[in-house]
Amino acid sequence: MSTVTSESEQNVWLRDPDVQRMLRVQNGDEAAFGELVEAYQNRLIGIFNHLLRDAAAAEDLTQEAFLRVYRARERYRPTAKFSTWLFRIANNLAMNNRRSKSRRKEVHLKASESGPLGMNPQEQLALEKSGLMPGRQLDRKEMREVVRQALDTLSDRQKMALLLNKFEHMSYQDIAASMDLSVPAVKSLLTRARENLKTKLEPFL
Amino acid sequence: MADSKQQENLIAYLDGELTDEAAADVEKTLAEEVFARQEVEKLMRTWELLDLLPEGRASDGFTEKTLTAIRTRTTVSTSLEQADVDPDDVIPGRGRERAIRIGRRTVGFFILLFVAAVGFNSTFQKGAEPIDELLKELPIVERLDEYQEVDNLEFLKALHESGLRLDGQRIENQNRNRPGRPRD
Repeated sequence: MSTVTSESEQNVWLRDPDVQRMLRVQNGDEAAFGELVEAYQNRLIGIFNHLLRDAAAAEDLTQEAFLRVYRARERYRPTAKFSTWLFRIANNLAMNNRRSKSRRKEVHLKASESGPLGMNPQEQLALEKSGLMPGRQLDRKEMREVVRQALDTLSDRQKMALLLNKFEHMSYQDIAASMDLSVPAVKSLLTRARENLKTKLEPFL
Repeated sequence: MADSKQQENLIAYLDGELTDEAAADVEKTLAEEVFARQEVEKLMRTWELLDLLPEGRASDGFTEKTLTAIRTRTTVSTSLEQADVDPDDVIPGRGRERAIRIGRRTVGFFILLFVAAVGFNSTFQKGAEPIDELLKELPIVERLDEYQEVDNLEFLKALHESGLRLDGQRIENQNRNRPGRPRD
C-alpha cells in the first residue's frame, strides 16, 4: 500500500517539467542541466542578493547551489517540486554562509543596513538628509531604496519566507518544505514579516 | 482585527491559504469592520511595493562559467576520489581553509609540547640539582670524619712537609704536633 502511495506521489511530481529535466540530468543529459541553470540562475541570484546584499557572494552561492544539485544527481528522487528542492539547498547555503560570517565576526553593519529592531540612527539620519522621508513625493528609485531598507529590517528567516512567497509564488506548504519548518511556523513567520514591512512602509503608502 | 491569530488569518486569506470556511469568516469580518478593511488595504499596498525591488540578474557568461566550474570540480573530485584524496584539498578556498586549520592545530600542538617540556623541566630538574652537588662533593663527604678531625689547614701542611701519613698513629702524631698542645 505504501509502495503504491509512494509511486503515485512520485507520479504527481513527474508532471513538473523541471523534475523531468533533473531526471534527464540523472541519466547523463548535460544539456538538461544547462537548461536548469538557465531557468533558475536569475531567481537564485535574486534571492541571495536580497539576503546577503552582496552581488559577488550571490553569484558564488548560486554556483555552489548548482554544484550541489549536480553532485546529488545520482541519488535524486522526485519527492517534491524541483524548485522546492533547489530552494531548500539555497536556504541551507544562505544560512550556513550567514553563520560562518558570524563566526568569523566579519559581519560589518553597513551604514544602510538595519538590525531587527528597525533602522539604525545612522541610516535614519541618512534617510532624512536624502529627503527620502514621508511628506514628499518620492521617485521610483528613491522608493525602491526605502523598500530595500525596510526589507533589510527583517530577520533572515522572515526575509527568506517573504521572498519565496512573493517572488517564487510558493505556497506555505512549499515554503515549509524549503525552509524545513512546519506550515504554522511559516504562517507565523510571514505574518510577522508582513506586519514589520507594513509598519516600516506605512508612512510612504 | 488586532488579535494576532486574526492577523495571521487575514494575511493567509490574502495569500489564498485559508480553507473555504476560514476564508468565509475573514470575509464576514471584512464586511463588518472598517479597521480590518484598512488593514487589508495597507497590507496589499505594502505587498505591491515589493515589486520595486530589483530582480536578480546573472552577470554575462554566468551560465557558461557555472557549467565549466561544475564540470571541472566534478572531474577533479571524481579523480581524487579514485586516488583516495580528499577533493576539498584541491578546491581553491576550501583547501586553504583546511590548511589554515591544520596549521593552527600544529602550532597549538607544539605550544602544548613546549609548555609540557618547560613544566617537566621545572618540576624534575630542580630535584636533580642537589644530587649533582652531592655527587660532586662525594670525595669530601667520604672523608668528612677525617677532615673534621684534622681541625685546621696548618696542621695538614705541616703533616705533608713532615712526610708522615694519616694512619693508625695519626691521632697521637697530630696531638703531639699540634701547636699549643702539651706533649706526653
